[in-house]
Amino acid sequence: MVEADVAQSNLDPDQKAVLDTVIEELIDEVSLGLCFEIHRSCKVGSLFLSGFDDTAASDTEYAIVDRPGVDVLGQVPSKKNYECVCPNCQRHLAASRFAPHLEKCMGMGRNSSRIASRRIANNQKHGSEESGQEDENDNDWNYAPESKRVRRMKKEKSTNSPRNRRLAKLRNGGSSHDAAAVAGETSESLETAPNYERMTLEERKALLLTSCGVISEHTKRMCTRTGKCVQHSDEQRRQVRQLLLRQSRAHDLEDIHIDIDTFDDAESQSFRESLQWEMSSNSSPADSTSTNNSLPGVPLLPPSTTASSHSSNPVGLAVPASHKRSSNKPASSLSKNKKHKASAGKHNVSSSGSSAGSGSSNKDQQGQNLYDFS
Amino acid sequence: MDYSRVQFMLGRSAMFCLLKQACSTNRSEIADAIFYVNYSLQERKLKDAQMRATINQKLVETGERERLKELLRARLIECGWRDQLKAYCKEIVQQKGLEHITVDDLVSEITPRGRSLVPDEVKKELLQRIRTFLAQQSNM
Repeated sequence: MVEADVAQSNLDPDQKAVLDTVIEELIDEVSLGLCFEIHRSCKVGSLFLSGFDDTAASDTEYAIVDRPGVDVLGQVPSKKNYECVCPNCQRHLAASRFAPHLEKCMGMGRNSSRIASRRIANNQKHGSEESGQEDENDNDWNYAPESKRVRRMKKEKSTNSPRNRRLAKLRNGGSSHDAAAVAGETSESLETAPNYERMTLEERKALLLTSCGVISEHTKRMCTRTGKCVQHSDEQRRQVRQLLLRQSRAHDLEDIHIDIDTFDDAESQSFRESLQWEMSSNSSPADSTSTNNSLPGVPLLPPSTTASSHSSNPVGLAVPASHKRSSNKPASSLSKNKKHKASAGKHNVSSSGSSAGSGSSNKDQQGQNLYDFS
Repeated sequence: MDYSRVQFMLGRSAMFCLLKQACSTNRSEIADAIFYVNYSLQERKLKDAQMRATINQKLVETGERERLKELLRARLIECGWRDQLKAYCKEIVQQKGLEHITVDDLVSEITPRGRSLVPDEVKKELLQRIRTFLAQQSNM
């Protein structure tokens, strides 16, 4: 009996002890998991924060709901009818109808500003005393166009200035001397008034420096493209520059010491080339002598010869200045050339009764240049 | 002296029986008896280890061990064991300082406490479950 009892109790506690150890292992594992969790929250710093304790509960609470017909938060999606209460008539309205309703009910909305402006306008009509002041204000507002008008009048005055008149005379005289081909067009070109004619020398220069400037035969307008314009050749450009600058020189002769030095070297180069070309074309001795004698500042002569030709200079005013210039600058030959032509033109006009040979030679030189212009 | 009986009487009770008998006999016999008990204890430990290994193997292979662990965790949370232990953890952390605490500290402090705090009902339930599991396994 004892043996059986012992055997019974022995087998049972034996197995029980083994099973106990197994259970203890399980418990240790669970508590180890807890240890890790606590340690992590220690290091993260959330151990002593309230609300972090029930992680399991919060997980279920904020879990993403994945069921059909329900949004992520587990709520049934429903179209909410937003209703607004009109502050004027206390009616309930759907939100989409609220703005139109307000427009009618309170006079607010898009049309309201127009209504308001109309109302203000009516009020101002009633207040007649204020209207006078407002007229003055209106004058203020109209100031800009009026000033424009004044400016325009000034311009017209300036076009009637003696200088321009002289220019016109010069041009008319020139055309009378020139070939008949240009004669018909001159008056037209004056009437259509290409505005480059009213420009001063400075303005012309500025314009010619920035743009191509070739004047078309049909429209009498300058080409406004850049200096590298493909439509016109360098030859045309050069002629136009010569023409325009000489023309302005014609009526700027009194103050001749202006700003030729400021002209571009590149351009002067081209002018010099053209000059040489002209020289070679005028190679016949009779012609050259006649020009040398009749014209004051002949371009490429050495200073001594020019000095000798001073005596026969009909327009002696311009020469000393030009001569001064010619001694210094490389571009001076250009300036001299231009001055020479300008003075030649003047010579044509002022002393029309001068020798026929010189007149004809001038014409030969100028006809080519003037052809494009007038 | 019938030593064959001793084989059936292991543990302390067996030792007491043996010592009672030995007191009535020679000293040399006492030494023999002690040697034999030691030997049988070692044998038993081996047996236990083998048994535990086989049981664990079965539990792991069938996945029963994981299920048991989940059950245990749920039961422990239910009975408040987890909260108690957590409060205790906080005490320890405050004692040692938040920066200086290590996992080893926590484990060495918490494991004995955790074992002692587990309610008997939970242990009984687990035991019952393992037994039924083993019975099923032996029947198969």
